[in-house]
Amino acid sequence: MKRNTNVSSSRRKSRKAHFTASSGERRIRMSAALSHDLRTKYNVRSLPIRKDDEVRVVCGDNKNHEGKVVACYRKKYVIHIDKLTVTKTNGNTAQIGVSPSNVILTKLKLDKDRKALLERKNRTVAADKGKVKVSADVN
Amino acid sequence: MTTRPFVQVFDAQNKVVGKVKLPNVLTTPIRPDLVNFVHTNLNKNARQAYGAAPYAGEQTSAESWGTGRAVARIPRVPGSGTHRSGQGAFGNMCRGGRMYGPNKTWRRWNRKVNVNQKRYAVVSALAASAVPALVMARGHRINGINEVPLVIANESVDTLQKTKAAVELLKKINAYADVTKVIDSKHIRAGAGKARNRRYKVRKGPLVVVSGKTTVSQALRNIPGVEVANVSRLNLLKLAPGGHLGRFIIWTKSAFEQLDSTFGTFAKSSAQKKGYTLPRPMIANADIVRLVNSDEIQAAVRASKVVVKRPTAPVRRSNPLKNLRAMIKLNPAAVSTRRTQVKSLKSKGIKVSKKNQLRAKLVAATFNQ
Repeated sequence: MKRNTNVSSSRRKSRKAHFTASSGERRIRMSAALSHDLRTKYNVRSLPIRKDDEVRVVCGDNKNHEGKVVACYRKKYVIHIDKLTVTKTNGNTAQIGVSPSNVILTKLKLDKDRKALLERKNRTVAADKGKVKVSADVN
Repeated sequence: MTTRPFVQVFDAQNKVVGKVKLPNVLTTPIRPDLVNFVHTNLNKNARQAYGAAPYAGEQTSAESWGTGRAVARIPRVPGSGTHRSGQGAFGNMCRGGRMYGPNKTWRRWNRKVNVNQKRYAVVSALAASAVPALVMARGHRINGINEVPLVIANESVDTLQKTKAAVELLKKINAYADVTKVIDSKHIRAGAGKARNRRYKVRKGPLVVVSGKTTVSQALRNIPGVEVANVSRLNLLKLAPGGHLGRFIIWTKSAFEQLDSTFGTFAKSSAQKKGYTLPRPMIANADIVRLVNSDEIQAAVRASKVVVKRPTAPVRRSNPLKNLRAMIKLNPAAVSTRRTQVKSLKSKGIKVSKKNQLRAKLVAATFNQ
């Protein structure tokens, strides 16, 4: 039964939202799960991925490849990972695009804002405050 | 049809904790024809009207030019100064015209079903849910469960709030196999429904029937295929999905006990449905073959008539051109013909073989008889 009128499961609306999302919205859509260690450490399940994060690919041809994120290509909904490249027929090298949903974050680039974000998303703190809504600010 | 007087009650550990009387509803006649009929009609009552826009293709004052202009007599858009003027309008063959036979919203979308028929169908569907063979025939996986109908103690069901606990319970009472079946059955729908937010199709799992206030619907609502119903508001569409009898029903004890007052018994009319009494079965035992072959009936009936069929002699056909007797049967004049033939042959001095002479005699004898 439908419980929230603001949430739609319509394929048409979902696809429209996905393909017309602005860059800021794409940042949130391009979230990746945290590794087990980080998850227990910060009590956060997932974060919007950013440049200089370190990730591990968990599925696809490049499974288990680890490296630093060199670019978040929001227009294409992919990230570029250090040393994850192909050589083109003309000899050039090109980055392989990987979907953020297929990687996990193994090391976070921590600056002031990232720390604040982790603080906000901390699930234990939210639960202590009696707020059941997890990650209401992001996602 | 179940005829056990009592049904066992199980707790969350799948242990017997008591027994309840089998309500009369579960022994009523099973009428698949009626259930199917009522289901098809009730199923239409959730439809929304659809149709083409009422004035689509009709919003012009076009008139036919009549004959004599060497053009078709289709209505044409009046005026000048625009491409549209002079073009055909209204007809389904015209660009910008109305479609042929557009759908109208004043179709009869809903169906009225007689209340007694609806009740009969519900009662019938309930009775079918108490027959293991019918429940299995509907495709439910009930091999592991203890009993049909399956009654669970209220304490183990009503207070459930977490899906995890509900799954645990279903596993304990061996009803989870049916849920697994539902999960496995998920597949992409055939046809255009895919693009209309009906992308997946899944089977139906168990129906949990409760009474009064309970939180169990929260616990169960995210388990695929599992539905919850209140015993005082049972819906045929849930009891016999697709018009097919024999939904796997998990009862709470209180809901099961309430059936007798909700639907009444054979002796007493219903407390909830005014003036309603249960339909009685025409015969107590519907197993006609077993009845006919029973010793009691066989002792009373006359012995069956033995018809002795004699074998008829096989027909032997013989060729009349070779066999004279067969020829005579077809043509009596053949005797005299043959005789004259033999005589003339003799008179000419031609020898007629003995065999042929004999045959002529024989033939003559037959003829004289």
